[in-house]
Amino acid sequence: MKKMWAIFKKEMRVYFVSPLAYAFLTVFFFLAGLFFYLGLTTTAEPNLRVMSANLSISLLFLLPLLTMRHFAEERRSGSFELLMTAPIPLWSLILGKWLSSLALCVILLLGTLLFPIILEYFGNPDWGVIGSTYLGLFLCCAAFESAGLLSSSQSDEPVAGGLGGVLILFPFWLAGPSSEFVEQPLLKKILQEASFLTHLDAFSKGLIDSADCIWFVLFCFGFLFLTWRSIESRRWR
Amino acid sequence: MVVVEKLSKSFGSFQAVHELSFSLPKGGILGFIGPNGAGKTTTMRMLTGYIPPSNGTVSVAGYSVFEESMKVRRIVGYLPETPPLYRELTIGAYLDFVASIRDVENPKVRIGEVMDEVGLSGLENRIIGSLSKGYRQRVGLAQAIIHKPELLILDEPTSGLDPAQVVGIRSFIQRLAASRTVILSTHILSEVEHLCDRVLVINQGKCAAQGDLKEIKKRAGGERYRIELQGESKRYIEPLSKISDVESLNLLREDDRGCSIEIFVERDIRSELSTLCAQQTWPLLSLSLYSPSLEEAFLSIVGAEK
Repeated sequence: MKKMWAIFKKEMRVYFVSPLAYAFLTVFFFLAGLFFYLGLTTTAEPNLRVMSANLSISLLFLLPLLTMRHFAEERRSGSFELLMTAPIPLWSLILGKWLSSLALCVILLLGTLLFPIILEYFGNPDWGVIGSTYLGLFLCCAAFESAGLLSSSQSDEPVAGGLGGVLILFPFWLAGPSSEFVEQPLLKKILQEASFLTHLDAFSKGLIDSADCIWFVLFCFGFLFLTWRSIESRRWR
Repeated sequence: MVVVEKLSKSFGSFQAVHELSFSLPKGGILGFIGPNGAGKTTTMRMLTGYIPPSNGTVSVAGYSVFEESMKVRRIVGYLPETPPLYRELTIGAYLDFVASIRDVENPKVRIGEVMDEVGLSGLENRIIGSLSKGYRQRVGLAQAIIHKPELLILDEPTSGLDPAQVVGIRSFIQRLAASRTVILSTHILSEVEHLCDRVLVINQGKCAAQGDLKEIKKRAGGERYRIELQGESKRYIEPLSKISDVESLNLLREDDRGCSIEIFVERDIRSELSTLCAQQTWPLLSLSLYSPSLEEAFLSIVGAEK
């Protein structure tokens, strides 16, 4: 636990002394603002449904940038030898890194709280719905980052690690839209369930369904487990 | 302190290390030498547990590196060939991080001590990315010793440094070895001659020779006497070989100026030689004791393997 905290602190430090975090925050807030504006002008409803769906798709491309360095950069610079020869259990290394990216996402999401405040000022939003929308976005970030970590653990080049993360996440996005072209009911259902958009949409409608929560939690757990296996197996090669 | 038995590592079909065995008592410095690509780094990585061996066992202070990895990691300090640094962090922040993952007690005090020891005091706030190679190497050393390891493994600690820095790091390593065991890999042989008590020569993944410096040098013939005399060698060879305990003779050079002969013998025969020359009225040009350098020993060991 103490080691996890040490890793977490180190990662946060590295984020905020490098330009990456600031570039990332800038792009994120620009897109979030844009989607909020588009959501308001197209639906004229005091909620964040449009913003949430569009933002999740942008996060699919952006979050692997945040996680790409985690293992790939350590490998490239040689600091991985320090981590793997210091008495740190592998799980606390992985969790520390994952939580640091997640903490950065929480900062991002807190920054977007400005939008519901604007909604409150001009309209009468349902705060329950807004809360569940945020919960959905949070779970979405956690899931994307676990996939990004897996990709980073497979690569020696941060850029390759980032692209790999996007490639892993792509099918989980495309499954949703492509289900509309499928007639076969079972396959349609499978594709819909495989897409994070389906689960996220429930949250932004104000529905907190345990099935949706479990979907995201399993997604995180699965990819973090694969990351662990991937690092272990790479030591043997 | 360290026991390595039949250690092997292959990467695909490439055998990097093949059935390497050695053991190391507590204290002192082991020089680990070999040509590039001989398997030095791979062996060190297996000693630290960074990569698992394909076969064989390594134990440090009685703990198996593979099965009790966490216990071994606590007592081993490791400086890889490229110092494992974070360019973005300051020296202070970096050492603070290392201290926390290495369970260092009183980290603030210990970081100060270590920075003094490696000559970094006052530089806490310097960003590692802006440091010169020599300073980075010092930060690398600081991280390797911060938890007071019993075994310190250094992979080419002086490569790429200027002569003054090399001297500094060497004397530092010497001081460290007073209280712990050090394994030092290098291909700078003068370094080994200066620092090491024991030497292990590795070539093509196999142990080519091991022992203390004297034993290794013996592989190049050990100490011998060189006598230079005027005239043809044939009149000297026989009387010389009759001196008691002489193992063998070697004609080094013969030309119109005279000849030079090497005499291999365990004891000091210089006075006997001079008496012999006087009795026989041999025109003696020079007489010397020749001690082969580690370079010669290394080349003869590595050359013989090829």
